[in-house]
Amino acid sequence: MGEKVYNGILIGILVISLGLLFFANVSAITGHATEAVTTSNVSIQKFLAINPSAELETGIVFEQIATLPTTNDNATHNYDGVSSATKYYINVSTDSNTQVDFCILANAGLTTDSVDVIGLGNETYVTNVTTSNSTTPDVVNEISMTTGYIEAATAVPVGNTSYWRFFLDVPVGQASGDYNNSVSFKGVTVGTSC
Amino acid sequence: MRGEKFVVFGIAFIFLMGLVSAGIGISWDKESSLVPEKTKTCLTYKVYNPWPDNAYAKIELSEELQEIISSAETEIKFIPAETYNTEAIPVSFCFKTPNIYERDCWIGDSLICKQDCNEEMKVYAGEVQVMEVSEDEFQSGGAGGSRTMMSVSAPLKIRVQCITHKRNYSLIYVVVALIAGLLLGLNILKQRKKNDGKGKKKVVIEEEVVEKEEKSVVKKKGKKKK
Repeated sequence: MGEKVYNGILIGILVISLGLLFFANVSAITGHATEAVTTSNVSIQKFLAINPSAELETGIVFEQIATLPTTNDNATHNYDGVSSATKYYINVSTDSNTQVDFCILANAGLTTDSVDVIGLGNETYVTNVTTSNSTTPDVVNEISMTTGYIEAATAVPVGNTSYWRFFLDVPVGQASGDYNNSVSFKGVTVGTSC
Repeated sequence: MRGEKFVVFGIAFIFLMGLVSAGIGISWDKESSLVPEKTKTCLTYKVYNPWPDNAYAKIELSEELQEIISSAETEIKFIPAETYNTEAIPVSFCFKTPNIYERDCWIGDSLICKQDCNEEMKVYAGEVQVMEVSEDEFQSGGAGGSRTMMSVSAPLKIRVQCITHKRNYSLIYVVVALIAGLLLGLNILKQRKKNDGKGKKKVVIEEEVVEKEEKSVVKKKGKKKK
């Protein structure tokens, strides 16, 4: 009799434990549905494509400097387009559905192989959306490059172009040499931070 | 005359082609994803090139997203000329969110836990960047110059969801059930052995009784004959 009671208690504990385990892990709710539910859905797609002019893709080359100091030394294609327009530009494809902001950065100041540096603040740019001629974009509005992305051209419409000019100041005493760096352009949806 | 026209046209064509360069585009339909802790999720962005030249592009994720990325297609992609947005090439990234929210556990970090989710939602915000890889070598000249690089980017946010739950006692129920089951099993085995022993004894006793009866029958028969 004692054995039977003992077994009965063990079976009871086993059943209760399994029952509690079941209810602890079951989360489905059943019931009689009284409402019909449907979903509404919308998907928003964005796409943008850019391409640089051949001159900009090849790189920004500055004219030979004869005397120091020099201010606003021109990049070679700043004024050699039609009506002295710049040949440095970036197109926003018609196969885009959003206006584009352009961001720019330089990885470092212009540097020689022997680590002589023209400080990054001496390399500047100016940009204008949709128009370029002898006075636009104007060097008066030049901005120094930085090593972090900054917003340069904003809200360039689909199918339109942003125009750029680049300038270089070289201080007195700068060592002779071939100075280089990298400049990156990034297109982002209008209003997005760089 | 025809020949001259052909030459002029040919020169103009070559000149115009020299002005055209490749470009890159990015297409996306999702900028953020809400993902529970310790969960893997994958997102797909697309790259395209509607320009008349072929392009090569490398897809990268910004530093903020590197922490949780589990797999990405990082090889340089070839994007043929005139690949429009409708034919864009998909690129996938997968992320695995870590355990970041506080849990109150009785045993270690993961057993018999509850989670109240009192903290602010953790967001990994960065961008997907498609960078054009140029085959042209930069030729500096004059005072030097800057090599240029083009890219397009799209924002991406991974929000890590905290799921509130009460303390989970499943482990305790399992342990108790196992112990009860084990004890019950041992008891049943013990009883069976006991019963088997009793059963054998009964058989022996019965056989002895039968033997005795047979002997007494034989004795009786023997007495009758006499």
